[in-house]
Formats: sequence, C-alpha cells, structure tokens
Amino acid sequence: MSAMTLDAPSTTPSVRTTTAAGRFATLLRREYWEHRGGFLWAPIWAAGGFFGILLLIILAAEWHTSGTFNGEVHFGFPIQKLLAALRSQHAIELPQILDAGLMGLWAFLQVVMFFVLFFYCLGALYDDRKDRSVLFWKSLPVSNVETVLSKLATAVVVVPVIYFVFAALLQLAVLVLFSALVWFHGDSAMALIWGPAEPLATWAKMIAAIPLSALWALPTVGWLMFISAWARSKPFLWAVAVPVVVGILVGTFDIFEAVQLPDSWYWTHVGSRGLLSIYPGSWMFSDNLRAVVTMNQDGPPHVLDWNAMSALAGSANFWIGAIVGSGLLAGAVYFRRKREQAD
Amino acid sequence: MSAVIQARNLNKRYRNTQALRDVSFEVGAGRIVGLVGPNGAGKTTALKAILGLTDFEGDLKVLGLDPRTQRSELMQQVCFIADVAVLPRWIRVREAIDYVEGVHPRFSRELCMQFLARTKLTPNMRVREMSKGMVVQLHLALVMAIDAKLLVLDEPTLGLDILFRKEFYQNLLNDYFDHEKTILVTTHQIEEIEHILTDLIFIKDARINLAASMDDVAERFVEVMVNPDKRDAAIAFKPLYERQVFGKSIFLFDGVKRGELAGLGEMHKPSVADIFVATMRDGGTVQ
Repeated sequence: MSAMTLDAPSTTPSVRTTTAAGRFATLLRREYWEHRGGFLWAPIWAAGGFFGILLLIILAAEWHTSGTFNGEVHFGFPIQKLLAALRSQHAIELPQILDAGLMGLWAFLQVVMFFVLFFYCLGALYDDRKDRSVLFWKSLPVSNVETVLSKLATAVVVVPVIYFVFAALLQLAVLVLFSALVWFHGDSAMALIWGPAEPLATWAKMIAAIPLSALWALPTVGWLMFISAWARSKPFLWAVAVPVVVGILVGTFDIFEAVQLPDSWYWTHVGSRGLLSIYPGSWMFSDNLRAVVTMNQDGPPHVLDWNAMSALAGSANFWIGAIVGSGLLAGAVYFRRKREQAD
Repeated sequence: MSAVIQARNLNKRYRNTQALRDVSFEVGAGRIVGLVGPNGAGKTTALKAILGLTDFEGDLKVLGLDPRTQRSELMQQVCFIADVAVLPRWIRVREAIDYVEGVHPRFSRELCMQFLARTKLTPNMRVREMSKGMVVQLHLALVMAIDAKLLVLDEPTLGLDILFRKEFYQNLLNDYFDHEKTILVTTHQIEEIEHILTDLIFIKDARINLAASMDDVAERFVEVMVNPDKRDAAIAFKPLYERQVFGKSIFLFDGVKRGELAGLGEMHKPSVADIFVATMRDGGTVQ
C-alpha cells in the first residue's frame, strides 16, 4: 500500500498524498509523544542523577582530604588510593580499566532501558484497548501491520539510539570529571585519562551492539507484544506467569530428560529469551557465548567484546530466537485485527 | 449510484448473545441515517462491523471494500466518532493535528485550524485537561477537516450538555454535510436529530425492525387522538400502540389510509420517539 491515487471529489481538490515512509515517521513520533517520560526523561534523570551523585561524592571526598583528615579517607570515595592505583597501573592495563568503566556506565543506562522497554512492549497493543482510544487509532488509515511495525521499530531502534546518545554523553561527562580530578591533584589528565581511554572504540562497539541487540531482543519483544495484543486483561501476569509455570512444570515432570536436556536448558533458551533478551548483553548468559567471551579476554570480560559479538551473530540460538520472535510479532498483528477492547 | 453500505445477512455472536441476526440493509450516498435501538440491540456491533473493528459472518461492502480485510484503505474514506472517551488522554491538540495530518491524505490542517479557532482549545492543551465538551470539539474539528465519504457517529454526544449537543449537530450540518457525503448515526437522543435524518433504521434484538426513509415514515405512521366512545372502532384498525392522555386514547397506526381514520379523531404526525417506543415493546413489530 503506497501512495494513494483515489479520485477526489470535485469540491475538494486538496487531497495530499501520504507516503508509506511519511506515515511511518508519523507513527514513530506518536510513540515518542506518548512515552516521552520513559524514552527521554528517564535516561536524562538516570544519567544526570548518576553524574550528580558521583560529583557530590568526589566533592565531599575532596573537602575531607583537604581538611584535617589529610588524605586518610576511610569512608566514601578513596581519591588518593584511586590516583595511586591509576599511576601504578601498567600502561597496558589502564585502557582496559577505563574501557570497563565506560561499559559500566553504558550497562547502567541499559538497565533503565530494560524496564522502560519491558513495560512499553507489554502496553504497546494493550493500553489503547483498555482506555478505548484504539477506536480512535483504528479510525484512521493505518494498517495493523504498520502499527505493530512502528512499535517494534520504536522498541529496537528508536529507544536504543536515544539511550546510546545519553550513555555516550554520560561517559564523556564522567571522563571530563575524572580529568578535572586528576588535573587538580597535579597529574596529567592526558597521560592517565585521555591517552589510555578509547571512547571512540567503545562507542563503535555500543553502536554495533544496537542492530545485534535488536535481533537478540526479538523473542522478548515478540512475546511481550503478542501478549499485549492478545490479553483481554492483566498482560503482565500472562507474560510472566506462562513462561514461569511452564518452567516449573518442566522441572517437576522432568520433561526435558526424555530428550536428554537439563532443565536449565529451558530457562536459558526459552524462559530468559522470552522475557529478558531486551537487555543488550544478556547474551552473556547463553552458555556457548559465555565461553567465547572468557576465552578471548585478557582483561575483565565484558559483553561488548568484538569476538563475543561476532560469535553471537553466528550462533543458532541468535537466529532461531529472531525467527520465533518474528512469528510472535505476526501473531501480534493477527490479534491486533481480531481483538476488541480489553476489560 | 451504488450503495455506500451494502449489508446482507450479517451475523455476529458473542459468547452468550447473538448481537446481529440476519441483518440486511443498504445505505445510499448523500443520506443521513439514524440507527436506533435499545441498549444491547446490536447498534454498536453493526457500526463496528462497518468500520472493520469486529469479525462477523455475511456479506458487507462499504464503499465497495470489505471492512474485515481492507480496513486501512477504507479509513481513507470513512471517519468515525464514538462517544467522548476515545481520544487518548495523553495527546495534545497540536500532536493530534500533526498525527492525523501525517497519516490521512484527505485531512486539511487549514480547515481544522478554522474549526478550532471557534473554540477555547489551545495547541498545548492535553485531552486529559479538557472537559467532555472540549474533547468532542477537538474530535469533531479533526474529523470535519477530513474529506470523507462516510461519517459514522456512535452516540457522539453522550454525556454532553444540551448546548454542546445542539452545536455538535449544527456544525455537522452547516460545515460538513453535502450531498456526496453520507452520515450514519446512533443516539439515544433521537428527538434531537430526527429533523436532520433522511432515513431510519430500527434494530431490536439483533434484527432490523424497520428500515425506511423519513418520507415513507411520515406517510406510513399516523397518530390519532380518539375519544373513549370511538375506541373500539379505532382498535378495529389494528393500531400498533395505545396510550392514554387526559381520558383520551392516542393510537399509533402503521400503513392505514388517512381517509379511513379521519372520522376517529384528530390526526398528528408521530415523533420518531413515539414510533420507536411503539415498536420496541415486547412483541411489537412493524413489517
């Protein structure tokens, strides 16, 4: 369904054409308007709050170290120890430590995003049926496929990109803060921070993780949106209870032993894939990939290692999950057409 | 001119109730059709079927399209206002306008702004901050700015006070309706809209009870005020309904020639509400 070529009645020559792309952009804006709180304000508050608390801790520590305690800080933020540690690190280890620190900041914001996306997906095709506004949305020329796709794109592209931007800003701000700290204590920020830190390399990995996470998240997004379109009431309960009850049954009756699989297989390959995969890097919990990550790492292992990411993209788990997720999304489209209002 | 809506043998069952039972009707272009029936009779289900919002059995063509499979195409030509609660509470006036402009090729922002200029609505106002009347004004402004062929209204003025109700229909007639447009409306306040209707459809117990143009209705139905001494004579003509006022009987007749009734008493044109009440009684039927 592309541009429209309908005969306009003679009285109104003002029929514009809307393109599929233009319509889709409008649908994405709609999602943003409704969920500005989770998509924009949540990362601003989380990143700003984190930075503010860090700043306060450092200021408090500085105030004490310059006072009577004179360097002997037994509580709060051990600035001198940190600086000493930084100075004594070998040049090889510093980049890894800084990289791990930057990744920690990213992972922190991803936790916020996990909760935002979880409840976004669960409400995406349910909330408007509950408050009856579905009657308004469905009174406009937007197909159910377009509706579901716009919500999918919001969950796996728009929101991760927004959170990437805020994660990068937070990382930059923290690097600047530590530079000031290092400089204040007479060390070279260039030698200790900006030389060894590789924010560009970190950002490249964070960007590469976006499409990878999108595919990895499909089974969870698909499951939550399927329930969201299907449930007549209590979508959260359905979404969580079904996988958990199945898991308990699997464990109780040893169903998987018949096919020579441990019960834990269910949790790592079905339960967590259906509920937790919207957390980027949750692929760490998948057995074969964890092995790859730890094998290839000299320093502290983390989820955005290039080897781990390429191993992920080559794993069957990854692609089977994406296919199952797409099937669930097709189910969401079907029930979007079929279901009427929620209770 | 082909029919705007063509319904043949529509059937719809919810779990325990039959909502539509062999419903067939046609609506031509340029008509204003009132769909009237008691609560639970199937009005809203019929509208939902027309709008592609529910599944059903039977043949239904709206502007030549099947609402079940072609809803999004259909909605380029069809607009819908349900009662006041359907605009999302979080949306702002300017967002609603941007959205409809972005997805609807027949929407005119200019027209919409003209309609809104007559109201107290401002671009940043959210639906949740508006009174019921204001929500309806916004929805009506959005819909009237769309050049659609069919407008479906489901209890559009429910819960509004009389001033807003009058204004709603006045705006609709003056600024929107023309002879290429068709309006299908359900309402409880039938007396407020009977003068603008061109056709009438009564639904009772999931069936169509009466489908006629207002001209036919005016011709078929007559009310006669009869003194007690002529009551038996009146009953001989098989009236639909009898009610007592000040010791006289008022009879409603369907399809009895005026000349035959002339001797019985004073004749009136019954209101649609009177006909409705008469036909909705248990066992009451018209055709």
